[in-house]
Amino acid sequence: MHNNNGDVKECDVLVIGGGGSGALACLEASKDGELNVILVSQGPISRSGLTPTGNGGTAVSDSPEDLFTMMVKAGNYLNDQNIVWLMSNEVHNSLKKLRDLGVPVKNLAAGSACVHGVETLAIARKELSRRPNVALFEDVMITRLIQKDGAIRGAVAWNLISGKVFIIQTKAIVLATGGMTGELYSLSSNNPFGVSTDAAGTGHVMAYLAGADLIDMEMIAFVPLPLNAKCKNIRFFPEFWQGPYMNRTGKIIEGDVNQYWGGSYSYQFVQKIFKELDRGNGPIIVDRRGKNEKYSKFPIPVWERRRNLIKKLGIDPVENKIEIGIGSHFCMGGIYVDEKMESTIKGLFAAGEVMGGVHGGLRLPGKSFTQMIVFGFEAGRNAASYAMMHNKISDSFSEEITQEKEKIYNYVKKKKNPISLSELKKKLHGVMDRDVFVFRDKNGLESAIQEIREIKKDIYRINVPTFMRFNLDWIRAMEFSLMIEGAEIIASSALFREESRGFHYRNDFPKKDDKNWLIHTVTRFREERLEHDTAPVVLSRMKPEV
Amino acid sequence: MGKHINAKVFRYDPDKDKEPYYSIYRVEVDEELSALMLLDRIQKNFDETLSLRSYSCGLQMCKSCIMKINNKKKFACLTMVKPGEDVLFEPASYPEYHVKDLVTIDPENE
Repeated sequence: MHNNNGDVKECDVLVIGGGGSGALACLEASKDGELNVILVSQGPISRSGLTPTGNGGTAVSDSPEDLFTMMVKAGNYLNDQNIVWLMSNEVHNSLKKLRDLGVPVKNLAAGSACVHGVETLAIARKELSRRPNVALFEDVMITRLIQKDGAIRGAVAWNLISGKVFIIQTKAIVLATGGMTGELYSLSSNNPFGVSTDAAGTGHVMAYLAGADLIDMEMIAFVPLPLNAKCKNIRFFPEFWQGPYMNRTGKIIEGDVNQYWGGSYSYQFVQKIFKELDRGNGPIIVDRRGKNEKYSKFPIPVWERRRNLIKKLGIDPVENKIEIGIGSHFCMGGIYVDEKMESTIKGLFAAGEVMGGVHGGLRLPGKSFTQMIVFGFEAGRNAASYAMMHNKISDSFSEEITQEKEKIYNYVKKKKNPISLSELKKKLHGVMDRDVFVFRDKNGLESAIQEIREIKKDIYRINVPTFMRFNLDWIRAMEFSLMIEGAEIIASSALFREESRGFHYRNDFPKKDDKNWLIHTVTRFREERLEHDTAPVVLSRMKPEV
Repeated sequence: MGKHINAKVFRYDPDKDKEPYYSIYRVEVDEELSALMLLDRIQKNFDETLSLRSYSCGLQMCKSCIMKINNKKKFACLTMVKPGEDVLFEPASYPEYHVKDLVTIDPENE
C-alpha cells in the first residue's frame, strides 16, 4: 500500500516518533481504517526513547479546575491556558481509551494514576501491527521535514540498517519526537547509566529548519541526579528525594522541599543546590541512613522494581550516602501549537514533550505523561481530519533527497582534517554546562552562542567508520548536526528573555517581569538565520495576582 | 596485575564479512559495572565499528539489551561484570533476526 518507486513511500499521515505520543497518535489516526499511516521510530517501539524510562505517574485529578490551577500557578502563567484546560478535561477520556486497549491503568490516591511506558508501548505496538492500514518503520531516522507554500509535504528518512535514504510523501505529520535535553549537557536524567536514549531534540530542530515557530526554548528543567558511577543519572522516586540534603559541613540545605511547586524537582531547590556547589560547599549528599523508616511495598510493580534495582546496585539512600549533582531533565518549550496541536506549518502537528505551551516555566512531576497521552490522541485525531480534508499533491522531492544524501553520506567520506565526534560533544557540554545552565547572564550567553557557532563550523570534519549497517557513530554524527542547532536555539532564547521566570534565571535580570515578559519567546528560521519574536500567552481563565 | 576485564565479542556484518568472528577487548576497570556500560565504553573508546543496541530504559524491562552473556540470555543493562573476569558476548539470536554484531530484531517486533 505504501508504494511506488523505491525512493518514495506515500501515506496520508506520517507519525514521527515511536514513544507514547507517537504510538497513541498512530492508533488514533488509523482507527477507522480509512487512512494510510506510517509510524517512523528511530529504535524498536517500546525499546527506545524516553517513554520506557519514566516512572509512569500520571496526573488525573477529580477536578479539572484543580489540575489546571496547579499547572498554571506552577508554570508561572507562561502556559497556554486553552491547551492546559483541554488537557485537564481530556485526561479521563484518554485513560479510558488506554483501558479499552488493554493497558493497565492503576488508580492511586490523591488524583493520580499510573500508566507504565513499556507496557503501554508494547500493547500499542501489537495493535498497530495488526492494522492493514499501518506500516511501522523501525530503526529508521527522519532527518529533514519538507514544507512547501506553508504546508507540510513530507520528510526525508534514513534506514539505519540498510543505510538507504528515501522520501516519505504525506498530507499530515504528527511530530512526536520527545525531549531534547539528553545530549546537550554532561549530566542528564535522560540517559540512565550514561547510555544515550537519543533525546537529542532532532524533532524540534527539523521543524524549526522547515520554518515552524518554537516557543520558550529557554525553559529547561534541571534536576538533582545521583553521581555515583553505578547509578549515574538513575532517577529515584520523588519519595526518595525528601532528603535531607547536606553540604560538606553537614549543613542541611533545605528544610522542606514540598513548600515549592515540584518539590525536589522545583527550580528553587535546584538553584539552592547549585549555589552550594558553586560556593565550594560540595559534595552534596542525600543521607537517609538511620531514619528507621518502616518498609511498605509500593503499589505499583514498576516502582518496586526500581527500588529493588537501586538496592541491588548498592545505592539505596536508606543504606548509603548518595552524592548529588545537577543534570538536565525536560524541555518545557517546544513547537508552537494551537489547541488543535497544529504548528505554524499547515498539516504539521506536534504532541508530547516536543510541543510547547503546556508547562510554562516549570513542569510538575506526573504531568508529562498526561501531556503524552492526551495530546498523542488529540494530535492523531486532528492530523487524520486534516488529511481527510486535503488532496494529495504531486511533488518532486529530487532536490531535497539529493541534498540530504549529500549531507548524510558526507560523514562516511575520508576527511583530510578529521575531528572526532566525542571531542566536539565534550566542547559542547563544556559550553552548555558553564553558560546555559541553572544561572545565566548576558556575557555567558553571548559567549556560548559564539562558541556553539564555532563548533558548528567543524561538524563537516567528523569522520565515522565506513559501513552502512547500524553504524552508531554515523547515527550520532547526524544527530549532532541537528542538535547543535538546538543548543544555539536554547542559548539564544535565554539571551532574549530578559527576566527570570520558572527555570530560566538571569543573574542580570533576577526578577519576574509580568509587565514586559509575560509572553512567549518565539524562535524561527528565516532567510538562513535564527530570529526571535514574541507571542501572547493565552490567559483565558486565570490572570496572575498583581 | 592491573584490573582488567577480557571481553570476547561476536562480530558479523553481513554486508562485509564472509563469516562471523570474535573481537577481544582488554578493558581496564576499577570496580564492577554493568555489561551494557562495558560494551558502551568499548564502542566509544576502543572500537567504533562495534554495533550494539546502546539503549537502557534503566529498569531492566524493555528487553532492548537482551543478549547472550557467557552463553546465557540476559539483560546486559543489569548483569554486572567484575575486574578479573572473562566475559563472552553474543547476539540474542543468530542467524535468525540478526542484523550486525550484537544487534538483532526481536521476532515479536518483525
